[in-house]
Amino acid sequence: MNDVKALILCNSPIAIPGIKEFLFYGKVVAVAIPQGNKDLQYLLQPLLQEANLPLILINKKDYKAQLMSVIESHQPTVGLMMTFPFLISAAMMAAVPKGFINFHFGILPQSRGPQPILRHLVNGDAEAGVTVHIVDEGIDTGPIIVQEKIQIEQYDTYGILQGKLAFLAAKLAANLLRILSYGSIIPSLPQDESKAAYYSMPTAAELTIRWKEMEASSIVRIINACNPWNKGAGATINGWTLGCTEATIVGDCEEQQLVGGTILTCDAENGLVVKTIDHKRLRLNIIYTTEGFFSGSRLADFGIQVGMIFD
Amino acid sequence: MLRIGILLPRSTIYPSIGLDMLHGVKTYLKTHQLIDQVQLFTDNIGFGIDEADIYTKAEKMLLQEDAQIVIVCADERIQELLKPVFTATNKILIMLNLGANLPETWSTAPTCITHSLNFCFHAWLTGKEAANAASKEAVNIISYYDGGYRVCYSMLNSHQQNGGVPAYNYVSKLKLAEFDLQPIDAFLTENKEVKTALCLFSGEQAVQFYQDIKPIQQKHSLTLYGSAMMQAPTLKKELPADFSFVDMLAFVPWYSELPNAANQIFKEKIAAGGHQPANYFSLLGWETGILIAQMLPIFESGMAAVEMVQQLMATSFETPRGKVSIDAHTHYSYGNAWLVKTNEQFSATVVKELTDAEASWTAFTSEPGLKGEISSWRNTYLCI
Repeated sequence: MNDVKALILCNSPIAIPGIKEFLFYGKVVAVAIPQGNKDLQYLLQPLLQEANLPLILINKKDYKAQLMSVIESHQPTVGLMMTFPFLISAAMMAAVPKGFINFHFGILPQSRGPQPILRHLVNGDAEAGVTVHIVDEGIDTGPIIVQEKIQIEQYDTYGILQGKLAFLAAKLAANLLRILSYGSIIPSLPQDESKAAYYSMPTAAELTIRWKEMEASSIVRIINACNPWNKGAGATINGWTLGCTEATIVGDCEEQQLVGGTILTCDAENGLVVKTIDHKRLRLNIIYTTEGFFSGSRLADFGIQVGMIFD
Repeated sequence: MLRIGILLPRSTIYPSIGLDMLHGVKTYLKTHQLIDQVQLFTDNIGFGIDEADIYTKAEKMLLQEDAQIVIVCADERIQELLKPVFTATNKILIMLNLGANLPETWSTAPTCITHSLNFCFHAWLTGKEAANAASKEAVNIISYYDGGYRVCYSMLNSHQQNGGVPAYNYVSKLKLAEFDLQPIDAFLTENKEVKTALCLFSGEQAVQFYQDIKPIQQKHSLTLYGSAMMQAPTLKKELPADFSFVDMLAFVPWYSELPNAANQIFKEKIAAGGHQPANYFSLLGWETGILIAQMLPIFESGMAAVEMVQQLMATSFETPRGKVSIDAHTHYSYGNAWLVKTNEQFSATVVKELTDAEASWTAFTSEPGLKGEISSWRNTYLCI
């Protein structure tokens, strides 16, 4: 049996189920997160206190020196990264016997870059997944140890998908821990560069509903992609920008002559229903405005009426 | 020469489990004059609990003994553990099991396949069948041991999903000395409308169950539905010679009396030379021999493991139980199923044959996976 002592670097609650797997088996020496992430700090503190382990807060400014110091003082045998935003230097990699392993919450090599969950949703992909790979000098480019995929369901929001992937990552973390403990090598395969794609953070324009271009299913996807972290996908009507937080396709629209974005109903009985370019009736169930979250039909109180058209 | 490592399990309730599997592999290869084209080397992995031992032995077969194929007789937890090292080394992993467990997700690896008798699938079919019984309410009579495998989940869940109603859940105590079905009798006396029982037992508890349930079945006109393991030929020799068996219905992947030429040859060859009669374990081994025979010419053509597995999935194989295919979606083998009823001599009579194996298998594997907190025994089914 190999001695496994993991230094875990993360920046999102999505890492917590995976961290718990390593904590359960007593294989963690320390956890480090960016200093500004107070929410994660609040979530991790009790877990680590119970295990009598340090939570180290990292400054972006001098993170390299800080991490080298953590490595020297805690002597991890492996570094595990889960949504950690800072690049690992060659010196850091060399200082940890089994190197660093990253949990990428997307399918590699097709979804390199930050926010792969958002990217899978915005792109309309059929599947999302978690890829566990060895960290090299590039961003999400190292050899893959294991990858598992799940189907994206029609009404998966960013938050729901994030939860599913967090538990998938926990399962893979348990498996990785066993491989690290029993194996003489860390099995991995190089990524297929012919399939590689890198995506930056989606722009505001990508997260805005384009009523004249997008079909109903694409609109639902983009709305789900923005729920809950962005409060909703952007939409504009009469110069007023609001967020569409949740929507359901409720049937076909027989009024073919109407353009996409036309409001069909806006009342308590039917809700706020909008026509899409593929002649579907899309009910906007929840709307975010600066005044608060409302059921769609409440927009009538703000002067929104049947026949108005979203930009 | 194709180098094949085989990691065999052991069992105290079925002591010959590993030997029967190996005998099946070797007998098929000898029967078809292929034994000289392969080099088989084996090791023992106990009850399938010691993951470190299994991983180390599999890795040694791959990295030191240069096996092109490793066959591991174990359940899904071990499969998950081994997939990355086989994917990375581009070598073939064949998992061999009775299928009493289910993976948490049907994830695949490009060089890994599972050759299974799919007991969970058959339990799922049996549960569905039981839901069509006149008495929708059922007593669930489960052994402490069998209840910890997903074969139990599969049967009970499909019964309920198809309209069945659990009226009473009974789990037998672990110690045989404390085995007592009187609570079932008492419940049925008080609830005369309940005429259906779903039963899962194996090993010595199955033997005890058969003996103790018989008067209860007769007294209450109970229709029994059981697991494929309860129809295993290996159980017959454990019962008293003059035992008059109970009527029990179960979907099974194979039964000894299956009337086809391949099954006759299989049974004759397995039992030749004083070996014990064919059983589920020797069938798994024999069919693994068929898989190896399919791979030999592909291997000689120099094809990589990934392509070899893809080619296997594109064909189906004639085995003693008829056509067996490997599902491209799950990488699991699947075959036909028969709803059989055992008679007083423990011989199986076919009630009906599954006519849509592929569609049923697809429906089974398309169901929502196991959700929430999941637990099950950690050893390989029957290896205790």
